[in-house]
Amino acid sequence: MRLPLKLNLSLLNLLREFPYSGTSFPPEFLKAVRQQLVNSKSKIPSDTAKFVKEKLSIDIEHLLLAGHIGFAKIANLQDFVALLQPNFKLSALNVTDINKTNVFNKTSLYVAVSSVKLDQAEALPEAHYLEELTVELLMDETEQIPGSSKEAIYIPVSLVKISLSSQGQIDIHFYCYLCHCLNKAFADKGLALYPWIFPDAKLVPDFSDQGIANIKSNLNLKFSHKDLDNYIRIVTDNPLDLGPLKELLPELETLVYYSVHFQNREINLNLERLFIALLGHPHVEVRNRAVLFLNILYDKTHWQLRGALKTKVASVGDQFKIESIVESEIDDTHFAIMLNTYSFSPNDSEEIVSWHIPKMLPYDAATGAENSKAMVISLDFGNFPRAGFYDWKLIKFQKGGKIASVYTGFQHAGSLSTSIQKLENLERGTGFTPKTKPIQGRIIVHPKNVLDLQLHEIYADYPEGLPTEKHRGNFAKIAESIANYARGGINGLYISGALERDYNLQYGEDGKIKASLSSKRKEASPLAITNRSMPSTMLGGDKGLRTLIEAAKQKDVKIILDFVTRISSSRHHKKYTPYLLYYLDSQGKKVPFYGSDGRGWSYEDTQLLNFRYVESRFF
Amino acid sequence: MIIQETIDFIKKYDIDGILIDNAEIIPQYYEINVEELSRRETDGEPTYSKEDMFYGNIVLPTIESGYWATE
Repeated sequence: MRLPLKLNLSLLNLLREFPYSGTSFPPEFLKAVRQQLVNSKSKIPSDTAKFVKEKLSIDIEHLLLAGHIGFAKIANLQDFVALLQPNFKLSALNVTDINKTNVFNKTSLYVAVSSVKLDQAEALPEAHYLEELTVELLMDETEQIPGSSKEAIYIPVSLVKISLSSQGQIDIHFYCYLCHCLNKAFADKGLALYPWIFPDAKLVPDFSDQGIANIKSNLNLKFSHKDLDNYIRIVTDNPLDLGPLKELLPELETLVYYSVHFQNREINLNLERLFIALLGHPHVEVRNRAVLFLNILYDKTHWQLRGALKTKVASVGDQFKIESIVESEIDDTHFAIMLNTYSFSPNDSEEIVSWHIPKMLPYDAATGAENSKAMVISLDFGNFPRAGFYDWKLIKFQKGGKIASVYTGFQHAGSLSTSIQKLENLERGTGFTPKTKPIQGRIIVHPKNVLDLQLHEIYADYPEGLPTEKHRGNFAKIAESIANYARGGINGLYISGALERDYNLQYGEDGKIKASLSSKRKEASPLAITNRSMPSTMLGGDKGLRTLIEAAKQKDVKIILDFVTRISSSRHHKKYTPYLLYYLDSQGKKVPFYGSDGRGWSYEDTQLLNFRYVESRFF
Repeated sequence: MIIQETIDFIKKYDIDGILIDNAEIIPQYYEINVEELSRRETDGEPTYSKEDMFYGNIVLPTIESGYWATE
């Protein structure tokens, strides 16, 4: 089955103008985009739209938007449209603004557009279509891709699927595939389309081919439950024998590389289970690889395979500018910065890998230094729009459709391309120098004004610091003190001991307290938690904590609670029982692994859970 | 489980933050007791399952910090 589509030029113009203010899209823009999507959707038979939804698990409007964004991001698309419709004026791509944000992507834009409700009574604006060309989506994954012609280009659905799932990581290949199809079809007209992130069309064929190669890699990728079981068998048969793992670790590295690249959810989950378990392997090298692989899974990029991300800390509203110095020739222009973070749009919870063109200046021009081959590469995103991790990486597009890391600290490097070549030789051999690191980083962005917090730490039982029964505290007493704290300039309270502990209480079927058993244990340690989901009953329980939080909100005092990972070794909730950790004492008796601060102390009122087991069982 | 309990608590009570003391040593992983987990009963049956070995349900007592000897 094929899905024939006509490009909606009116929609392309809206997208290419990209009127993003830095914080939100104008409502009229979102409405106009939605209207054009409805226009395009109306040209597709409903049974076909239903088939697409089943096949791709994607709404047809989302698919149409994703496709049009692909075409809209072709820098010189007007060269192509002019060949078929010379009288149509295609808007120039707003490169300046799309370079400053990550919201111009198929997910963020769809989230924004799909929230728009159209008035059914209102007539849709006219749509202008590129009738001369059909974009055929090949729904049958086994169908050979026909050669492009002036009348039609063909897009395999597999490419669309991995483009949709990969959260932007292979977008560049998708855009190049579109460019390459059109360039081939109109070669006699000298058409040389290229995506906005490239300076010209030289690398387009290579990156297009890599897009097709990605399909094959993705289809061959598998790590099923059965594969996981095999690995478990190998790992557990003789954990002290490193032999089998020497072969398995490179396999796992390749697997995690591609699984993250394509964001294959099933494989990622199975790998995560394996890696968490391997965190406790007897061999340090296996544990270290497991840590690295887990970082890659959680980062959703494989960037840390080449080295750690250099970390900085900032707050929302701080200037978001990336700067780096690299050794480079002046004509080395295929640099880009990849950014991996949440959508800048606050209503969108998706993480996106986006591509950006950095500003490049010779080092001497930027600093006044002379006779330097260094370049200053910078990119100004304005201000941090929301809290979270902002991972970035400087890359270079290379022949063969390769996206190469850019390294720093390489001695005797001439041009950057030379140093990359040298590095690749080193990586293939054994002489990789640890002094050489990829230029990449992570900015940990805290909520706005977090540095202005004046925190005060209190024990919930003894907020006045007087550990006597007479002065014993509870949530209500703390709530009464909030105004006083606020007057004294305290705008944040860090409260320890707020969670449920072992009071020796008896509960009824409704979960309410019936009575205390033989005696209440008022002396129960506030840090020995019986149920991490409940506030302390003795301090006022659910109602008391809500009162406290309400009082704090009225005075704009932030409430931060102490959460401990240990649990009470007496009368903890039974949900924890299967996950308890044990060791053997000197007499061979199996005893709980008591809580520890990790520095030699152990607290027998608490015990540890087997975190490897807990976190790999609860996906 | 712990993460979910924490998220649920934050959502339910709308607190502004949590603090995990000694976060630098969390999660606490300890070296598995390979000798014990490889033990067989007097009739030759394995005492523990492969799952026990895989997840390290019996560990060695240690005074080292949670995640031991990593780089």
